[in-house]
Order: sequence, then C-alpha cells, then structure tokens
Amino acid sequence: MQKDFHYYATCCAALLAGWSFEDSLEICYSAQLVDWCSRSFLNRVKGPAAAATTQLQLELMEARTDPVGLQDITRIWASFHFLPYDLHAPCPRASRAYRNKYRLICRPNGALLKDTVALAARRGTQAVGIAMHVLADTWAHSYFAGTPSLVINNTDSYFFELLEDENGIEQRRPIRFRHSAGEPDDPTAGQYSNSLYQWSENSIMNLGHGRAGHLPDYSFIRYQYLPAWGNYEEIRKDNPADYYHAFCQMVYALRCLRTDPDAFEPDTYDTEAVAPWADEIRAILRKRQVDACDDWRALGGRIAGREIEDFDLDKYVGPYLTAPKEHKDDSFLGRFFIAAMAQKSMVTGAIFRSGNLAAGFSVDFAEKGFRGIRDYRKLLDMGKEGRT
Amino acid sequence: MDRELRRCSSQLRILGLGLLVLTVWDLIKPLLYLLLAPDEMDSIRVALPWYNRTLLVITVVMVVLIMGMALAMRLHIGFSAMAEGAGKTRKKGYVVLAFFYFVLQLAGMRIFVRALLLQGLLARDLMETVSAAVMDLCSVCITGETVVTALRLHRLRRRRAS
Repeated sequence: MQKDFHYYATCCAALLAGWSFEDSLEICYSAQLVDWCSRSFLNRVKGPAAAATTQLQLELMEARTDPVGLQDITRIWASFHFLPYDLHAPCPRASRAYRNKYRLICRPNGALLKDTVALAARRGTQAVGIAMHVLADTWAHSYFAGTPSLVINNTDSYFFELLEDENGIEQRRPIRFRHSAGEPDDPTAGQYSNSLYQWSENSIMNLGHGRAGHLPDYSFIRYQYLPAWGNYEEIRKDNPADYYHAFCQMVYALRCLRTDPDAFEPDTYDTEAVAPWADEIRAILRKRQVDACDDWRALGGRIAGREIEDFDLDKYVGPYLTAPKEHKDDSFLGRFFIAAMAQKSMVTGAIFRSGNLAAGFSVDFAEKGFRGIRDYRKLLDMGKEGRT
Repeated sequence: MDRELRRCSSQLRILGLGLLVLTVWDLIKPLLYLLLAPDEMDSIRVALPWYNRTLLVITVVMVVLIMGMALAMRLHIGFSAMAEGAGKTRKKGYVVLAFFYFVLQLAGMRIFVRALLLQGLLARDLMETVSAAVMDLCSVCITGETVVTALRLHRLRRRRAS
C-alpha cells in the first residue's frame, strides 16, 4: 500500500475507532514511517540499524543476494510488508528450499496477525502504527512473499485487468507491463510498469510484488493473473473489496487496542463503525487514480472536524537527535525503533521456530544469555524491567 | 479443466521454443565444423569413391536442399507449437509433421546406436559421441512430448467447447 492508505486512511480508521486526534496522528505517522525507516534514514538519525523496516531502491540495488544477504532482506520484508500467512502450510512433493519460500506467502488473517496486534498492545501509538501497517499490507500484498524468489513471486503474460463495460458486464483487458521506472503508471490507458524479468531465482527483481508492478498498491484495480506458485491456478484480486476489508479490520483492531487488546480476533471487521462513511470510502477506493491522498485527507478532515497535516519524515528527528542518550528510547522515534525491533524479532523468531531458515537464525536471548546484535539488547533489558 | 488447458498451453509454448533452439543449433553445428574442422570436410570429400567435381557439386546441393527442408520443417513445427500454445492459431498439420519427424529421429537413433556398436566409435571419440547422443535424445524427447501435448491440448479444447 501507499501513503494514501498507510497515512491518511489509517488516520481515518483510528478516528473511527475512538482514538483522539493527536493519537490518531501519531498512529498514522508511525504506520507511514514503516515505509521510510531504512538504514539510510537510521544512519542519518544515528538510530539502531536493526530497526530498519524497509529498504529503499538504492539499498536494494546494492543488497547482497548470498544466503546471509537474502536472510537480511527476508527479515525486513516478511516482518513488515509481507507477513506470512501460514508457516506450516502443506507443500507436498517440494524441496525444502521451495517449501521454506512457499510458507512465506502473505495473506490476511494469518496466525501471525494476532501476534502482531498482541505485540502492539500497551506499547504506545508507535507500536500500534506499525501493527496497522503490517495489517493493511497483508490485504494488499496477498499471494506474494517477502523474499526474493522467482518461483514464488514471478508472473507471466497471463495478466488481465478486470473492467466493467457500460452494461456492467465484466471484460478482461490484457496488461502488458513496460519497464520504465521514470514514467508513471497510466490507469486510463492501462499502462503499468513492473520489475524486469530476471531468470536468477534470488534476484532482487523477484522480491515481493515487483513482478506485478504497483498494481497491488492501487485500491481501484481488479485483476487476474497466474502466480508462479499457483500451479496454473488463476488468482482474482479485487482490490476495492480487499481494501475495504483492510479498513474495517483496522478500525476493529484499533478499537481493540484502545479498549481490550486481548479481544482481537482475526477475520473480524468493524463494519458498524464504518457504515456512516461506507459509501464515501468505497467511492475513494474505486476511483481510478494512482494516488488517493487528497480524497482520504478530505475524508479524514470531515471525520475529525480538523485538517490532517501532511506526513513529514523529519517531524520527530530533531527531538530524537537532541535527546540525551539515556532518554532516547523514550522519545517518539526511540519508541518506534523499539517497536520495530520487537516486531522483527517476533516474526523472525516465528519463522525460525517453524523450521524455516529463510529469515536466518533467531536466538532467545533471555534464555541463552546475550550473544548477539547489540541493538536487540534494548528489548532484553526492557523485558527484564517489565516494560515490554 | 481451465487449469489443465493453461498448463498444456504453457508446456506447448516451451516445447516449441525448445525445438526452435535445437534447430538453430543444428544450423550452427555444420558451420562450426567448416570453420573449426576443415580437415574433417576434406576427409569426407576424399572418401567419396567417384571423386568428380560435378557429382560433388550435385551431391552437396542435394544435401543442402534436404537439410534445408528438414530445418524448415522443424522451424514450422516449432513456430506452430508456440503459436498454438499462445492461443493464436489452431493449425493441426504441424502435429502430423512432428510425428513424422519423431519417427525419423527414432530411426536415426537406431542407426546411430548400431554404428556405435559395430564401428566402435564409442572408444575413439567418447566426448563427442556422448554429447551428440545427449543432444539427439533431447531432440527426440522434445519432439515426442510436442506431439503428445498438442494432442492433449486439442482434446481438452474439444471437451471444453462441447
């Protein structure tokens, strides 16, 4: 998903779930920050490198794709953008390497979603924002895996956009991707770009939904394609419906996190709270535009009765840089970094405990004694203090 | 059934591409011989019992013509298979040609094996013999699978239409 949903729609969801305007802004800021908190950003603010929640394009171009590099990539993308649905999914007659990647496929309402929301409980708005980003992305990024893999994430020429003609009859229009990073997608002409085909299994081009371009991140589009893992089974993706579900589930999750975090159950949606705004929301989701920020911001303004400020990446950088060392973790960014490391630790641990080494080794530092990445010491210490 | 149709179509496209690649290789191979092993070509020429310039020219022309026809046939099979796999055309003649070519290849392999055993080529040029055998076997398998997949695809489409 993009800024329109992660920032503005999340703000709307938080407001509908009863959060105050200020808290809603912090939540949606944190949700959007997940798409910006790269190692470059962390270097700039002198934050812990282990708190990276994304990798920018330039970083990906330089990323190593040896086994260690792949594990590093998977740790980030599977933890924040492609939450695995079922780490024990059956995969008969497959090699271990294939099975490990197959089990990282993202879909909504997996077991890890409940753990993600539970982890965000009573940890502040930053953790809530991260959880909402992860939740929303499970809907948009369904059927792709957060690891570079041709055999899982590839698509081919069997790719159609589903449109309705003037009589309401569904038509299929073939999508022919172009590889022009500089030119924006043109939904009117049906011209979209995707990543280049690379026959190498672990090429960066095969990470996530690159082979489907930005289509999963457009709320208006409905399409049909053959995923590489699907054994020629067609997948129909209805983004307007999925995004609406994502929104209603976010409202429900946010309400639980505000009132009773233990009550959260997957596959539950607060359609009642959303009902007064349902028509407007559906209209925004169906509008053929690559960026719906203006519409969502206007809706948020009407819900809150106040204007929602634009996302400013540097909003909390100053306070973090100027905070004394012993108080950095109590600043906004400090809390965000801790929450990000906790999320990454949780997901990586779950992947490792399922017998899957795609995200590398995961050690329970509390049990084994601390021998590991210094950044994660914070989580251990906070756990001992009862702060996590 | 739709899934099976898509699988067969994709398979036929890949098989057609495989046939084309092998055809291109068979075009390149004699050229490589001419460039890298001119002595071999000379020895073939000298081995002819009735060395006569005119007859040699006629022989070479006939060989080139027959090779050309064989290559054209394989190109036609390959392109037709790819086109049918992409859903563009439904010509069936190429399947008959493919079957005919498959039978020829099997006959050729039999002759090859007999020559190996009788003339002891295996001992003399092991690497070359093994490489040639592997390529020929690939070609036989691809052609055979093209015939089978094309027939399966036709049957599935008929079933779907009915």
